[in-house]
Amino acid sequence: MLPMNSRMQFDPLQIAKQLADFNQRLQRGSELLRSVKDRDVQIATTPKTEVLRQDKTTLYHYEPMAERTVAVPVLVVYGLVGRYTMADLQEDRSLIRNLLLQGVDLYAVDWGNPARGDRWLTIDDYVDGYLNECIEFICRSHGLDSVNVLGICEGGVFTLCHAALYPERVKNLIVTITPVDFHADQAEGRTDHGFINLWTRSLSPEDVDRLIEANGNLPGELMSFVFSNMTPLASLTKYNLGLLDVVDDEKKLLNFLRMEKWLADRPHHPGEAAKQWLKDLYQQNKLVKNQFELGGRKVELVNITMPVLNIYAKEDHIIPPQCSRALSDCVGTDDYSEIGLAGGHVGVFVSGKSQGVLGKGIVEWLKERP
Amino acid sequence: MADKPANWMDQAGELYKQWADQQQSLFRSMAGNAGLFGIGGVNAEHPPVNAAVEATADATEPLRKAQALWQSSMQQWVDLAQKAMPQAGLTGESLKALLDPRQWAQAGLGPLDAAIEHLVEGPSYATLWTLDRKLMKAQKLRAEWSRDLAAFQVLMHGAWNEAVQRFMRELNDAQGTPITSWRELTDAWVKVANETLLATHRTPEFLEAQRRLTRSGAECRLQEREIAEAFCEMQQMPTRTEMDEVQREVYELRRRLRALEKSGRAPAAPAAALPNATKKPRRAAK
Repeated sequence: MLPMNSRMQFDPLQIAKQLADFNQRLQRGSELLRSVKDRDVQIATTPKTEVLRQDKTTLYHYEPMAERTVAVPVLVVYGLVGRYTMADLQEDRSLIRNLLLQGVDLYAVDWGNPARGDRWLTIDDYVDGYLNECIEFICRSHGLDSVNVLGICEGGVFTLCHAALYPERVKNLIVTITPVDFHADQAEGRTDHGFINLWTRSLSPEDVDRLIEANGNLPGELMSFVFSNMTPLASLTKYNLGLLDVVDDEKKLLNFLRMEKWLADRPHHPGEAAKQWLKDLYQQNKLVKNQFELGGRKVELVNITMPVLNIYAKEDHIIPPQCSRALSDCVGTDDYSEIGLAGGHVGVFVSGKSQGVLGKGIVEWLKERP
Repeated sequence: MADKPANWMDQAGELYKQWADQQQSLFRSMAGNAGLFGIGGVNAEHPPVNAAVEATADATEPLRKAQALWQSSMQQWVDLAQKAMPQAGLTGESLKALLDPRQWAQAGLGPLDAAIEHLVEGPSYATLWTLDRKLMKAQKLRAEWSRDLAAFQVLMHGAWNEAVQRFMRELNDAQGTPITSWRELTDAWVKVANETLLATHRTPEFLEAQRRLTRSGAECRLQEREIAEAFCEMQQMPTRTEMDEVQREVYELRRRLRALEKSGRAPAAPAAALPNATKKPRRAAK
């Protein structure tokens, strides 16, 4: 029983009105949900052509949407924790489309859906194998000696490694929401940031090995669970309160469902690559210490001598800003720039607010470095 | 096992053995007595008259042992009760300990763990009982996983309870903004619960409980795989381990093929000179 001085001050008439509004909303939402079909919820629809396939990895070339303004093509590289389709969620929320509309010749690499049989693939295979082959292919196709590369999250780490090992093949490097110092989360002292860093450090190296041995890979479902722990109530109320907020507005509802479709499409992370990701990088922080090795070669960030643009999200709870910004001190170029965008890890790519800012910032920076 | 204190399951087993011995002695004495129930007869090993005397002695000894065992068992109950409820009476702490689900989970699984551990860790003779041991080990690991799951759930229940308490305190804060709609009320609850859960997720206790649960889940899965593989081998079917080995060979062959293709092909174009190359980290140049 609440005492008399409780903050709750409910007016019975107001409550009745709210209840009536709520019922009307539910009714409209129910009708709308019934009419929505899977074909209405499409993601990654920007026209593209498959130009190269290696095992499960596919290289796509997007159809131009405007006159070319940036001479050298850009290759978009996503990580293995999610799918590249996040960069092309829907027509009005698409980094891919924004870049194309501003005259960028665009490629994207899709790592596919790794299964148990892919458990032995390492980060070395992805960086020195598949990614390197994609870049070589684009160079050959355009008669170039280097291309522009844009890495996202774990894909940003792949591009950093590749740029450090093959600096001559990267003309300009753009990394977005990319971890470099995996222990810098501790400097922020925020309870809502960096849970993956904390969770990974709570495991022993043997825990990681047994987890991978038992599953053959890092299950996508486990990573989804860890992500949901980072925003516990948002995860729990997504399908009641969250859905209720958008259920009677077709546009908002379809946005919600597209995001759900992307979230549900979380691939398994190949086992050996996951061990490197969790142990070498998250636990032992080898990248920022220049101790990370791929194929017997040390990845030394000082070898990144091409211009670098580092884009981070100010409210990124998955890759805290300090983890990304640590790159500033490590690269071997003076042409280093940063853009800090308002928003969270995924919000930077899919929120309405960031749509103009992100693509425009990248294209302007590239135009200054032809 | 020898240095561990006797548990109640062992004692229950011992009581049953004593009771069974006693029953055997009783039946032997009845069988040896020609007049009783009209069964039995003259037996060279157990003459009828002596047999009755012997049977009486046999029956007394197990009874005496059973009584001693029963007393010992009861004493353990008394000790437990004294620990949980000190002489001063029922305190908040002792009540909390009695009601703490973690205590139930540990107490419930202890004797079972010990019994299975004894079987699993006992001496093994070549392949004799190999599958049985694998099954028992899986059961033990499943029990450990259940215990870790229970410990994890207890922590989560604690966090939710704390969230409710915090929420009630905030609702009763007369200085707070008035809440006039169900949505404002829900938002206030979501905010408090989110903050409380996030704080819980960062505690060493939560992280350790989650780690243990992840690890014991993996160990269970691996042991279940061993059992499945034992059945696969019996049926001459390929096992997961064999498939992993084959896939590893395919992976290594693909890797070699890629390296061969790469070495046999000219690079796309010669490397160009890189502008702005300082070749020392920016932190050193600052």
